[in-house]
Amino acid sequence: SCNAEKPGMINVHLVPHTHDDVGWLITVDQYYYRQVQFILDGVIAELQADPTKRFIYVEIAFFSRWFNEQNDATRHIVQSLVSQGRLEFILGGWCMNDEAATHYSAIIDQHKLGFEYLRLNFGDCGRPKIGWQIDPFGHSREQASLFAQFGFDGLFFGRLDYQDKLKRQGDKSMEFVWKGSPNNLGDVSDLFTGVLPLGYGPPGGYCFDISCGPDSVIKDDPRLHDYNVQQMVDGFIQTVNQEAAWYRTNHLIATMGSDFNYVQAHMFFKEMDKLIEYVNARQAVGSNINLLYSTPSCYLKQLNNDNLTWATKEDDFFPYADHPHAFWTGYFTSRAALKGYVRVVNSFFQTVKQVAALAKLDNTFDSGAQLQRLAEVLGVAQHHDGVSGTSKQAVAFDYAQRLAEGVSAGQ
Amino acid sequence: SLRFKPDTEKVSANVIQGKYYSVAFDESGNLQSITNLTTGLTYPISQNFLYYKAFPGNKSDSQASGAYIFRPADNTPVSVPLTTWNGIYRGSVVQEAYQQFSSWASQVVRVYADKPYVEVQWTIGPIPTDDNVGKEVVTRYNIPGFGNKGVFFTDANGREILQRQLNYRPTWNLNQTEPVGGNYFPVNALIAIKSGDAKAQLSVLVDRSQGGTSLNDGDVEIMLHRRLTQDDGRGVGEPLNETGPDGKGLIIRGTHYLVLDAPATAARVYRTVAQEVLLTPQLSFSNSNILPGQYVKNFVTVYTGLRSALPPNVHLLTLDQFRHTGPVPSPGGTAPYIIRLEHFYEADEDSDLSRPVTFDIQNLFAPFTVTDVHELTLGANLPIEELQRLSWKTQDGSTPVKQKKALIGTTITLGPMQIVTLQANINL
Repeated sequence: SCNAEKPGMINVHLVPHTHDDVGWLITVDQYYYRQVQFILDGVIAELQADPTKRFIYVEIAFFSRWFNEQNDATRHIVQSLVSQGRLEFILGGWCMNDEAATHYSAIIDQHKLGFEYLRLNFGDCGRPKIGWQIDPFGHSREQASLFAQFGFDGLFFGRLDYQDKLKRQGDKSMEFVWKGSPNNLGDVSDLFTGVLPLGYGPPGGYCFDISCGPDSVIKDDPRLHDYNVQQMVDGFIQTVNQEAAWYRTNHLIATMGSDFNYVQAHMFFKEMDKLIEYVNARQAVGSNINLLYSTPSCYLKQLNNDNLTWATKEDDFFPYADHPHAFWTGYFTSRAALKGYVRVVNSFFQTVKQVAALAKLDNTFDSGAQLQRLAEVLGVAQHHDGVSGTSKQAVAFDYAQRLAEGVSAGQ
Repeated sequence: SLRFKPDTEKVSANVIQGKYYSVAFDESGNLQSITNLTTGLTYPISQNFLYYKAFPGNKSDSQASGAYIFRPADNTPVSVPLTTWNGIYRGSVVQEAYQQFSSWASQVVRVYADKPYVEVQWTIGPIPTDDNVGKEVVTRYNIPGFGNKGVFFTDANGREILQRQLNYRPTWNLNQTEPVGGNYFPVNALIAIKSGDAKAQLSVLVDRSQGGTSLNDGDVEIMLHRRLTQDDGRGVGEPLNETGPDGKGLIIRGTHYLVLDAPATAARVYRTVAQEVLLTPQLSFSNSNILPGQYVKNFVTVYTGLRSALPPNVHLLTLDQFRHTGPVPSPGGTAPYIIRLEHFYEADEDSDLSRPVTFDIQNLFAPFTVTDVHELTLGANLPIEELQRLSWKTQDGSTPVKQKKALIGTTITLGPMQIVTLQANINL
């Protein structure tokens, strides 16, 4: 189900994706209504129409909200796309959790919540196999260890200290095997890890999303003004050549998407179709660059096929600074009351689950649904703008209100 | 109706103690010394509240401290000294010391009769920002001459513990631009320092995620609360300014748990205390007209879910029921259960409790026995024997394709930090 790459060329895996925060500037439900529902509507239509296109989805809090609203016909279409690997679930937790201010019991629980939803609706084809921590502000070794224990084949992330990134670009160590538990679990917790080349967005000038404004569009009718195919192709090839210097293989990953992109899915995909066509057309005159629609697992498989020997890492990626004087260490404490409340509710949740299990409630009084609600609010709270304290105040209140509603459900 | 008499009474003294700890205060009420009564380890110790003034950003240097970023305007924080010593209260369960530092900072230090730690309950807020200067409030514990040499330890998400070192990164030559902000690390369970002579370890356990560091010899510093006046330019678009229910500024109360012990014996205390801090008793109330004596005759008031205790290094991480089915097809009409058990010590943490442990789960739970037990991956979405991971070559070997199984029949063997995830049916 992976599109074929061209051996001997630099294969650029275009990975269409959308980064959907489970609350940040507005609440999770506001994002769902205003953006995410339309993203999934449009993406599914684009995938249906063209078997070469690919898309990944990450945050199951959002996916479940959408999928639960679809009719049977649409659900069957989506299941078929998933079975064929045209829509791929990556990470697959309820959210993309923060890594500094989360407890491992909550990390495990929120991923299990997403995994279970995917298993019940998509079977093994829906099982995520790759970690995707593209936005969290620093990375925990324990997160890598847990991902390995989930059975993931790899992890990709975006943010790391700017000095660390420069060094890795220079010595081609952007991809490596991370030892998540070097002194305890050993190689069971080893996880192949890749630093994405440019944060988590597309190369500059190649954001084809409606939110990016008009300048990136490809104008390819020579009879019309502002024909720009040559410069668009040249610019992309230049970026590819720059990036190729940082990585060891003939494969590169290009994350074609950013925050809440693909609300107008057709626009992004139509532009990418052209980018692929015109960049690949240069092969006829000697270019060694090949673009293809891909997914993180297809990219990872190519890296694995190359059978290289990889360097290892045993420490973690904290603290994170994106510039001099800019250490993202304030959020370790930000919104200390919310951070405390998340712990209090987690403790309540573990107790309620145990009591229900020991009492053999087996969904008496709808207990299963109530526990699900409590699990879901905790899952949302682990988001990297939730417990981290980096959301707007109104959204922080929404997280707290949800937690309180979850407690009521648990009671 | 029931009447209660307070058990604690104010005494004229400067020491609080219990079976495990004795803590002394000077005549002004400042923390002065801590003694572990079991080992005899005793050290002078101070505790101070301080705040860093936040860098506000300016035309030539716009990076302010904000919700994400910690950038002090001055790396030397301002002290908030103790102003009122409200004395010591002693009772049969607990002894307490009440300290007032300012109108917005106070603390109660407690030693329980039977708890192996010193409890420090801090209350911070409303942080005053009428001067339009953002403030980031920390607590600093210090043992003079401890000799930890810029080395400290913090946990990763409450599990494995990593070594930290000031102004140092293991994998590249750090050019440090922020001697305070760039030395803060996440703390989810504890932050610890070890003495230079290897005799002692001070571990501070936390009740929520916080940022921590150790900037001076013998320091443990933890950031408690922040109130800022500027945005830090990472997209949230507003200053971190929690005004609280009355609009005057949010007041936050939390707790630290201090464990002072020999490094060889510290883990068995901090690992168990950390579990107790994470998973607290849940209180439940009902209206009743019955006298307590009659109530305990009419109703079951003590219930234990386990038939016998788990080994001391094993924790029941999850006991729950799948919503519909588990990943292993199982007969019967009810959804199977999900059980996770974990060995919660690291290798070499404790000479006894770090060892692998074996136990049986068939009769572990009081209300039922378990059957059809299958081991799953940690996310409970795949039987473990079906897991096939990609293998990657590394300089010292290659990554495994299969995972180590913990379950044979109903017997489980766990190594340090190993978690087993099970699907099981229950028999009533």
